[in-house]
Parts: sequence; C-alpha cells; structure tokens
Amino acid sequence: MVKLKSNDDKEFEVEEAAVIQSEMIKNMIEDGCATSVIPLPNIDSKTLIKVIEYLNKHINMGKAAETGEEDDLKEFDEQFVNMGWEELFDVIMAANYLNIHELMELCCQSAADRLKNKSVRAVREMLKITNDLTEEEEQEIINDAPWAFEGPEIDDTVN
Amino acid sequence: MALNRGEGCSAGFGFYAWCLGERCLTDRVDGFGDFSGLNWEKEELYDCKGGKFSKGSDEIADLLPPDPFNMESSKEDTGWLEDVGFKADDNEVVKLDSMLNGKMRVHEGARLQLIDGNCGLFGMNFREELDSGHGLIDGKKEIMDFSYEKYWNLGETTDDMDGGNPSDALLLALSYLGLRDLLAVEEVCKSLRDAVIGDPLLWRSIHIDYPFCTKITNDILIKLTNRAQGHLHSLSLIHCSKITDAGLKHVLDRNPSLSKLNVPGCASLTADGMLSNLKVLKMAGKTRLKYLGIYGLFGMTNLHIEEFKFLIGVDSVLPTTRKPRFFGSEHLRFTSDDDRAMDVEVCPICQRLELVYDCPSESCQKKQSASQLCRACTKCIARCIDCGFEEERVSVGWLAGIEAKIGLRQLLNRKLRQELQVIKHDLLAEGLIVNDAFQVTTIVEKLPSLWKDFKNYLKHKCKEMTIEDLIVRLRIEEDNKAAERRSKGNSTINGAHIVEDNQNNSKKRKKAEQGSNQPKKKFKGKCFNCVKTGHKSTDCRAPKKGKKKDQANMIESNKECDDLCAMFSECNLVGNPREWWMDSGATRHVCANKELFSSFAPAQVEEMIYMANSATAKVEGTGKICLKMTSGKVLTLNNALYVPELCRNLIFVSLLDKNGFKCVTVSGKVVISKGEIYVGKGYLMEGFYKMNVMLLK
Repeated sequence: MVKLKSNDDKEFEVEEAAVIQSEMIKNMIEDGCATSVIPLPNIDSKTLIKVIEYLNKHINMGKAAETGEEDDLKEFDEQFVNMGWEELFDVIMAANYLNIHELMELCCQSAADRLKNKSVRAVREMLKITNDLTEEEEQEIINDAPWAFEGPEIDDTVN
Repeated sequence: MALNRGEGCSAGFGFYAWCLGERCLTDRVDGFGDFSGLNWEKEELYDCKGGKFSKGSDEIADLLPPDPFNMESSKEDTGWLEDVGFKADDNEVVKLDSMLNGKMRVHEGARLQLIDGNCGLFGMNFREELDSGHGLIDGKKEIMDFSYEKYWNLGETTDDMDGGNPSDALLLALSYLGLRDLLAVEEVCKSLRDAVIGDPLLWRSIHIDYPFCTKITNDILIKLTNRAQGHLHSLSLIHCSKITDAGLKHVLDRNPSLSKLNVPGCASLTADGMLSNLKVLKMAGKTRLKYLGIYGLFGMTNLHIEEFKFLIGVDSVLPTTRKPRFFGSEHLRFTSDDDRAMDVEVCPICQRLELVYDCPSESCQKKQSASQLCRACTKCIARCIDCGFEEERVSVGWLAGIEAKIGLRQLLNRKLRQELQVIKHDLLAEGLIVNDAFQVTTIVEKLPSLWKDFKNYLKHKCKEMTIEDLIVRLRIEEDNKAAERRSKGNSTINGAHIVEDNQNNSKKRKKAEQGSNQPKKKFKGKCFNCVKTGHKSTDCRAPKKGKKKDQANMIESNKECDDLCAMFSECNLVGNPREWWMDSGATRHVCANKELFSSFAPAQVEEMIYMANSATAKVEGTGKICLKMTSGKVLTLNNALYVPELCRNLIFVSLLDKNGFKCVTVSGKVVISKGEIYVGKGYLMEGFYKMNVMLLK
C-alpha cells in the first residue's frame, strides 16, 4: 500500500500495483522514497479520487486483454471521461504530473473528440475563453486556411 | 516545450518553484525547517486556481507565501517585484493585486522542486525551460541564498480577462486534435494561436480526409506542411484529388525527414510522378521513408511496386510476423501500427495490385502465412464492411451439399445460414471435417417453427442419429404432414390464424451453441443492435431495436404452411372477451363469447382450429356478429366462428378487405373505412390493434 496525500491534506491508500502505473510514483518507489506519505501538491482530493478510481480499474490491464474484459474496460473509460471540462482538465494536469500515459491519452483524446469539428465560437463558449484577437488577426488566420472555417460539417452547437 | 511556452503566455502570473519531497527537504536544507508553512502556501495557491482568488480580498500578501523559505521576507521576496517595476513595499503589493484585477492566475501546478539536489524525484516529470521573453526573472541570487532556484514568471497580463484563458491542460491536449480542429482552436484566442502556430511538433503529423480532402490544393498543402518547419513526420492525404505530383514534390523537398506518406485515392498523383519524386529524395540520400500508401495511384504497375519497394528499402517478401490487416470501414486510415511498408500488394488470387486483406477469423490468423486461401483483395473475396468476414463465398459449397442431399433449401432461413457459414469456415480453417452429429444438430436447428414439435421430439428422444437417419425421419414427417394436409382438405375445416412465432429464439440459440461443440469464438465486428463490439446482433442481450415486443402474427406464406394451424403468443391471457382485436393472421373471424352473436348456428360437423403448439380448439358454431363501432356505424361479421376456448375475439383483416373495407394502420392506430365512409378505428395495444367497439344486442 502506498499513501498519497492530496494538496488539501487528505490521504489515500492505494495498492502499489495500481499506483505504479504512474511513472513518477514508480520511480519514487524504486528509489525508496515512498516509504511514508507521498505528497501531491498539484492535485486536489477530488481529482485524486478520480485518478485513483482509474488506476484501480486499470490495475490488470494486461490480464484484461486475455480474459476478454476489454469491453468492460472500454465501457469504464467511456464513463470515466464523461465529466465536465474543468474536471477533465484537472485530471489531464494530474495525469501529466503523475506521468500516467494511458490516462493522459484517454483524457486528451476525449478533449480532442469534444472539440472535433466545432466552430470557433463554440470552442470559445465551451471552454469559456475570451477572444483577445483583433479582427485583423482573426481574418489573417481565416485567410490562411479558409476551408477549415466553412462548410456544413462545422458544428456550431455547444455541448 | 509546448507546455511551458503555453504557460508562459496563458498564465497571467505563473508561479514556478520546485517541489520538495519532505524527506529530501529535511535531508538537504538546513534553513528550511518550516515545511508546514510551505504546505499552507500551496494550499492557498491552489485556491486561486481557475483564475480567481477565492479570497476576494485585497490582501495578496495573504496569498503569497508568508515566509516559505524561512527568510526575512520583505526584502528578498519582493526583490523580484522591484525588477519589474514595483517597489518593495507591502502597499505596492496590494496595488499589484488590484492591477491584476483579481483575475491573476497562479499556475495550478505551483511546483516546488529541488533542482540543485540530485534527488530529482519530482523533477523528472517537468520540463523546466522557461521563455525568457515573458518577464522571467532569474531570482537565483536575489531570492535565495541557498541552492534553490526559484523561477518567477510574470507573464503578460492582458487587459481583456473577462472570460479567462485556456487551461494548460488544453495545451497538453492540442497534439490530439485533428488538422481542422487545430486550425479552429488557433482562432480562439491569442495564447492558443501562439501555441498552435509556434509549435512545429503539433504539425509533425498531417492527416487530411473527408470532408476536407476536396478543398485541399497544392498551395494549401504547402502552407500547412510549412508549419512543421521541415519536421513533417507523416503525411496522410486520403482522396485529395487536387494534389498533384508537383505539389507533393514541393512538400517532400522541404520535409526530408518524412517517414510516412499515405496518399490513397489521390487521383491527380501518378505512379511515375511519385516514383521520380521519391528517386529525387533518395538521390539526396536522405530518405527516411518507412511507409508508403499509394493505393489508387494512376498508372501503377508491378514494376512500379518493385521500384517503390527498392526505394524504401524493403524485401518483397511479406514479413512473417506482420500484423494481419482486416477489411473494415476504416480501411483507408493510416495504420501506424501496421508494420508493412506499403499498402498495395499483389493479390494472391487475381494477381492484380490491390489492398489485400486477411481473414478475421481467429483460426486463420494462427496460420496466416500458410493458408493464403482467405487472403485476397476485396474483388476476389467480397468482405463484410462491418466484420471483415467473407460475405457469401465461404461455405456456400458446404451448404449446397447438405441442401442438395436433403432438399431442405427452402427451409433454411438466412440468419441461420450465415451463422452456419461462419462456424463452417472456422472448422474448415482448422482442418476439421464436419462430423455427422454436428450436421444433424444444425439441420434439426434449422427446421422451421412449424416443425417445432417434431424438432423437440428429435431433440428429446434421439441420442445419436446419422445424417441418413435424419433424412429418413424428415421424409417421413414430411409425408405425414402432407397426408394430414390432404385429409384436412376433405374436411370442412377452414384455416384460421396461421402464424409464425418468434418466441423460441433464445432457446434455439442456446441449443445451437451446445450442438456445435465449438468454443464460441469472439466476434470482431460491431453489433448492429447495440453498437458494441465483440458480438453479433443475434447474440445481443440489449433489447432489440425497432422490433415490437409481441411480434406474433407474421403469416407464413410458404406453401408448406397451409396446414390449419393457429398460434397465439399469449395463450393464457385472460382477455375481456368483449374486446375485439384486428388480426391479419387469422383466416376467419373468431369469437369466444356466445353472447356477442346476433345469430348463431351450432356446428354441424366437428370442426377444429389448430394452434401452432399442436393444440386444437373446438369450433362450436358459426354465426353473425354485429359490432357497433364507436363511430355509430355497424360492422357485421358473417360466418364468425364461435371458439369458446380462445381468449380473444379476432377480426380478420383480409376478409374485411375482401368485402370492400379498407384498413389503414398508421401511428399506432387502425382505421377502417368502406369507400369514402369512415367506419371505425382501433388502437395499438399489447401488440395488437384493439377495435373501439360498442356492443349491439
């Protein structure tokens, strides 16, 4: 068992087999630095719970492929990324910090999928980003690749 | 790199410091005892995430570490502020806060890390390049005396902060975006634009397919590939018909490190042009091309293929450990995990240059190189786009053999045939001869549901049977049925209600699996029913789409079935015998309630109606029934059968039709009219249409 401490001082006990999916913690354990609690100053408890949920589920990734539980795992992944943008970004940052490649890939791909074929306006609205480009700058970008901003396949809905 | 640059411009106020492990800390740092203070600081900083200080007060001093490094704070800590034009004064710090308008972002991962020490535990995950262009202050000397470097990165604080900046996580996710989405994101805001334009790594792999393929011209392609700044790694143009050899040459010249080139269906490219382009590249001695997707190039010959192979330096023999390639909806996609060098091959069957697919059957994959029989282009073996299985060819021969043998062809339904084909194909690939017992079970399974009794009999009574035995038994049963039919023809019994049921499907399936003695193999494709992969729609446990629950009254038009036979899907239903139901499957109006007859004549001869479960019901008489519809019109049913054993009164639709009535079913309603006159209507209920009837005595 490895103890992880989130930045709001909550401690979580995780099986070593699960937690070594994180390259960072794996290295720590190998170097013998994980004897006591591992503080994770970048991750709040809410995000950490999510990450641990993922790690526990993916604990037997190799085995799952043999026993035909891939579907199960896939379903879990689908459910897992079904969260708000804020939360997703938190998990991405956490995955990046902990260096969990699979989780990183899953979440980033989910983010990319959500943005697929979205119009610029929709992206701004979804991510709550303010447009700080001047009109000329915007026009410049559009002129660069006009084909990417027009056509029936562009999705202007926000969801 | 991308991350850090992004942080530099997106985070209005990035706080970089390095993270300390508790242990390392106490080991190495003397003047750093107060770790709890540090923790407190991190907590506070974290509160600020999301661009707003949770403590909306003007006390930035509270938010900044009070004295995290155990130093006399005022001088050192504010020293960096002086450097960017602030006085080292507590009041000024407050001003800084108001200037940043409460929107200051403290980088979420306010990282503290020991750089100097060799501990490096936390360090290895972070890239610490910082862009000096954003007001980076090297606080090495000023801030700390001991061996820590602490980076303060004061980014540009833009005036327009209403909505907020993109999350750093988004910058991490940029590399997962497709080409068009990258361009769209570019236009969202400044920091994203800079991130997208400034990072050639995002453009290392360019993939263009529908719907943008028709819009991409040479110029656009060159512009796009230029963003990679010569580091283009893989280029995939699917059906980009406007790209010419000259355009591609331009791209290749500028991106010598290209290792994957995939241009299937690019109609303007020629094999000759491609060859000369690649030759030029090779001449320059810098080709690193590992994959070439050239299916559909104009004027390609086997000679070209050989030359291409030479140019990218592969043997013409297929590697033995290659991954199988399956046909499917994504067959034109870039397959990065495919370890072949080219997409086109000489088809083992027709010898043409085609995309050659492997058989998705697991048993075939085991000995793929040996049995080439099921490897071929789609023209030689038509494959199913969903599962990659061969569509018809496989076991037609086997089936034809059985069918010819016992003449059961008309009895085979299509679904069963397909299942059999798959099983058979697997068996063939395993080199097994289909044994008698298996054939017998499958044939028994294939018997139509009208033979259900006989089928059950065969299943229960017979232990082992050879195929010949079965044929004999089937013949006998067929004769019996025919004889019965003839005798029925002489009697006065009329057919009522000939139906096919579908309620025994699940049972059949189970039996089929047991009978086959074949471990259920994993199905590759997608289920048509629930869209999950791994099983067929026939095996799907999800509720069947688009099918009504009580699909009972499908009439079997087959000649075999004009036996007098009735089947009710819910025999034990205690219906209100005063209700009337439309039934397209019956051949007579049937009524179970004697009171409803306005005129009634007891049956002269003994008549029976037959149900599908071999049960019979006695017809007690016939008569006339007057149904007053809710519309006020009266519908008279002549020659209705009185069958007290039935639970429902049935109106036979086609008999109405014969008498000039029109029955229209629409959106759960049935409307009966004669000529232009509206007669009555009914509603869909429990899978049947229930007529709105008032009773007429």
